Amino acid sequence: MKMTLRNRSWRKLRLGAALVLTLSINLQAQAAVMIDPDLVPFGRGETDAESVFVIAAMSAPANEPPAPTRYDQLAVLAFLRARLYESWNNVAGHLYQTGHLEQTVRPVAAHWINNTFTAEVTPDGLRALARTPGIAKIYFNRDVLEEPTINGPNPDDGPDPELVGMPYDFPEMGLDLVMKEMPQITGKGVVVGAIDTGVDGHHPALQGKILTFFDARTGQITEPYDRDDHGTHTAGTIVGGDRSRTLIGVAPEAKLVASAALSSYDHMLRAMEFMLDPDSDPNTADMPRAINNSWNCEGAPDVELFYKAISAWEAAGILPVFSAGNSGRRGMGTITKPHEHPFVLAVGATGPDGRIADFSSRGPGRFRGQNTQKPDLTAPGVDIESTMPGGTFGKMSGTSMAAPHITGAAALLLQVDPALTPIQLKELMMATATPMSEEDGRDEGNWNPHYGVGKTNIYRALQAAGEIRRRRLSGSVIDLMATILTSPREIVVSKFLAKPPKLDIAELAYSTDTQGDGGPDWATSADFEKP
Amino acid sequence: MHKKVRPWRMHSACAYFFLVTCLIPSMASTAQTTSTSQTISGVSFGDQGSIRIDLEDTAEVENACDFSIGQFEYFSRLQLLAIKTYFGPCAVDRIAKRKGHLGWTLPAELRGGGVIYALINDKDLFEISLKENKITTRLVQ
Repeated sequence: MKMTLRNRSWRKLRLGAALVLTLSINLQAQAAVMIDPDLVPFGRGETDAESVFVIAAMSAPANEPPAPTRYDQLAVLAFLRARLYESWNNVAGHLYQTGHLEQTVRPVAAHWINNTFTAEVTPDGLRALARTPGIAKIYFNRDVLEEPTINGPNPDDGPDPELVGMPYDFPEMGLDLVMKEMPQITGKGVVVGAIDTGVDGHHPALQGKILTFFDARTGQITEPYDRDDHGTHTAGTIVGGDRSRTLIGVAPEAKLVASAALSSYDHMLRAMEFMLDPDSDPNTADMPRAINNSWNCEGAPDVELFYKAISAWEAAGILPVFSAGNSGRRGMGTITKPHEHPFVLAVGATGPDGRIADFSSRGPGRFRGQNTQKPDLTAPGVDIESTMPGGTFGKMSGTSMAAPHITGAAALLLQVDPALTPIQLKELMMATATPMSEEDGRDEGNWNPHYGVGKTNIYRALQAAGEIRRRRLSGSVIDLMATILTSPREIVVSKFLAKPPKLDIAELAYSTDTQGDGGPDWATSADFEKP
Repeated sequence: MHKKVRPWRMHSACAYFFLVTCLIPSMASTAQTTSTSQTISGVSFGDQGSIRIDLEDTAEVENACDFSIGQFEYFSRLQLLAIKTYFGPCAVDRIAKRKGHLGWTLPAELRGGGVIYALINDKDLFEISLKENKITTRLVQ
């Protein structure tokens, strides 16, 4: 019988499918799909819910695209999208063949930032997903913030009279010297980001500063709004006000890409993905260079979903700035997730007395079973005056308030030297921080679990950045950062001149051995069987 | 913003059962329990015979979002207003005492003044004295 092209293609496809199935069976034999234990009662049919939303993490496809070069945004985005395409094709093909696609498993959104997809599943669908080759983990799509019913400022509050004058956080970070000696350094021309509860873009101290606003719940670019007051406050500390009368923002002439995303895990991932390419055109330079994250994601068996997204940010050239957490009153080792990730710049909080706040989470962090030196550094985070929805101002406390100071500082550094990479920004701020020590002698070299390497000094960081840029442009050889720093800490400047390191593709792939970080144990499909 | 909540007078047991069995502990349950108790931080007269009761945590919490009133019921014979607060998940790293408030239209017998007792989360009992232009509050137990 003559084989037509159509027949040949179909035969190839069937052969390919058989091969994929064989490989999949082998893969399945090696690692069972890890299932969020909170989904087990649903999978067993023990709840009344007809469906739930899950986030399925896909393993790397067999024909994974080659690793891109770190900090090459175009290449990183192309890699991430190609990987999702390959992974999803395999998974969707299997779900379709088994009759579950759009029946018991209804995909809602795919997230190329971390090779996952969100789906609404029935109990049958969840069990089918747990048998699907190419699925590594299934997470329950947790809520992280509910609709506030009462929150909001009292409309009678009015502008706070204390706003007039220099707030303590400015001199505490050396920002008073920046204003005096480097008045042109305001963050002008730099785009930074913020993932939070939203932002009141009509606030007089924020007007014209919100470049783009993404509502992660609808997936649309909209007019800015704030579901709470937290996001408006943190945005004010980054870009709010000016350098003459309303002294609240560290980088008042920088622009902000903001997102209202603190509602559920999948919305947060949507927002993190949006930040990589806000206008969906990778050829335009609209990606924020540093992003503020004054939130945590406790509760899941692990937070690899967010680790992968953070790795993708860093690979594309974004500095992930996170609050360290407010669990310091519970003692040491209280860094909250995902702030322990090595790429994160985790910020602890100090008070008006210049000392570490009692609530500021203490290190070390715990990352995939290993200790990490977190927090990295500190910034003011007690009684910080900033913008509140409705055109008012108010004070808030928390490491949430410390992190935006550092995001603003990153904007200032990037104005001085736009070529600085995320790791360089981090090293510059850490190298120029004012060392702080605790009496309990827990210092490990230049780092201790209370302050990290110390208190941020923006003035010194800007001086160092200016010198690096000047020497790089003049082609002169720089041996040690120490020569231009008042801090004795040494950073080999070759780091600043070297080519970016090659991206380790494993940073972006799902590993299955992430137990041991304190979360609940993973379940497997065997747990769906009733005892 | 002044939000009025209608108390459950009829079928409160059914309503409570519905809340407890169907709404709160669903698969996607996000209700939070906390050891932090709440106090009445203020009571004021509102429009058309209403009062506003402001509640606040007695201690700071690590991840502070404001709370809402999950349930309230007035037992007129006991002059008892039972209030239960509700905490959703909160991922922001803000440290603060959480706040919430209840707007309630007073029953006719209390509009000229009187005393009511407010029981918060089955734990703390407050006495609220209403006089023509003055409201006083004290912790009873």
